[in-house]
Amino acid sequence: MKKTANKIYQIAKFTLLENLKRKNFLILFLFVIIISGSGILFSMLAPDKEVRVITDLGTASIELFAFLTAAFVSVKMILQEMENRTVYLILSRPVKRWTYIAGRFLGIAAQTAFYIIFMTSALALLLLIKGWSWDFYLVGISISIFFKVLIVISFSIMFSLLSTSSASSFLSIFFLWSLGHFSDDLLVLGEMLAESGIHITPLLRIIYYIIPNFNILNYKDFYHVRAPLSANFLFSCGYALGYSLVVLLISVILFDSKEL
Amino acid sequence: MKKQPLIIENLSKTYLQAHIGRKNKTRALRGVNLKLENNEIFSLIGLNGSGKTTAIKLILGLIHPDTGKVKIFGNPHFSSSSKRKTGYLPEMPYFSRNFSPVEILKFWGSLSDIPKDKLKKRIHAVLNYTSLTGAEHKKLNSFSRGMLQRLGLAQALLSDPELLILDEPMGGLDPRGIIEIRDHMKKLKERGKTIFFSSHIISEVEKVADRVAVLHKGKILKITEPHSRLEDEFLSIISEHEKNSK
Repeated sequence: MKKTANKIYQIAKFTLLENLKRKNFLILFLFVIIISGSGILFSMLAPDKEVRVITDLGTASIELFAFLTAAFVSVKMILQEMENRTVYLILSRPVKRWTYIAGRFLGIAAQTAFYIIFMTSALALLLLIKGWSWDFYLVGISISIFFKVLIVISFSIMFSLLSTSSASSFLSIFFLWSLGHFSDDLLVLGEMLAESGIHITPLLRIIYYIIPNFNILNYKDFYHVRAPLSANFLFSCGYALGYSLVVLLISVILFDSKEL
Repeated sequence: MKKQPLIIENLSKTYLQAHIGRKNKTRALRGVNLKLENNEIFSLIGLNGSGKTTAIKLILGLIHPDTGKVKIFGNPHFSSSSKRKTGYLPEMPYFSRNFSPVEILKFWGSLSDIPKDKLKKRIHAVLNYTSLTGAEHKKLNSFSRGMLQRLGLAQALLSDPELLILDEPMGGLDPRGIIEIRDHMKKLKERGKTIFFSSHIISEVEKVADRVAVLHKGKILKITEPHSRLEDEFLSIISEHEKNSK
């Protein structure tokens, strides 16, 4: 067990190092430019409005950047490793296939955590300069984004095992990401269609329960109205973690039967 | 008595490829049987697409057989104890170009169950053996094809395995690279290792192998000892088989 845990740790560490060496983090400068630009652009607004606009734009950018980097990195890394056969060198050693999946997942998750911490710190710094007083709710928002992205990473790994094209894998994730933000609307749509005589509510209900519900982790849209960060928040994070684990388990089953 | 390094029994593999609603079947290996003796260099020769890489992938557990068994030193090929005793050099090894040999080898070593206190010594030994000392901290993006092949060999030797599986080790190398690999194989044999390698460069196989198996369309047609007219024999075995199967 200790040996397996060490191998997962080594694969995760190598994943993190590999991405740092590829200089993927340079995309974070784009984030800094966007929020610095917004700081200048919105300085003509009243101070309270300015902070509000920067907070909204900043948290939305954190989510977008975290999503894009996690999805791109996961898809590219797994597919590239299959294509150039470096995965053979890992699996010809005493390494179980599930260990490889777990290591890659944790490495990309660690990288995403670093990115989110960096972006949140940059945003908080700008807001403090603009007269904002420190608020832990911002940390809560960043944690909720991290858990959302965990689901994205697990799906990215699964799609890259199913497909040989990075474009189709990425598009599938993007579709799922979009659908997951409108999952509540599926139920409303079902009721509306039922009124018009189209009875597909049971089907929409099944889809509603299968696709990830990103809305329950959507705390950034409620920053100004203060949705409580208590038990609900823990439930949301637990949901994301559980969901990611299930997707990873499916990935392990797929990878176990995959012909390399 | 030492157990046989590699035993392959009735190994078969069919690839299924889905194509616009149709499934195409390709029989890559058909009932292959092989037994390797300790401390021998055994070569699998065949034309492109004869099933050499499929055989190696099956031995390493990268793909699953339809039928048959593979045993490495008496244990199933997918067991950790088998993998600890096996070193593998892929055809055209690829490494992340932003790392140095030492960084890459540390990573591979950590996955090979080499104790931490021994890993440093092993890295030094394999770098020295493959003449990569001096370039151990250089980034791999400055490495030539031959240097990458030597690094590939270094990672295969890292855990000091008893059985080495080399997939087309001379493929894509210049004459000096080919001689280097051939010399390494001979030296490794002197050190007591067993080597199983695939190749289609028959002139090289006859210089280094102790036994040769001719693989054609997934079947072992003959197991023979190398000699100066191996290429002619190889071609005549294949053409005879083609004639008989018509």
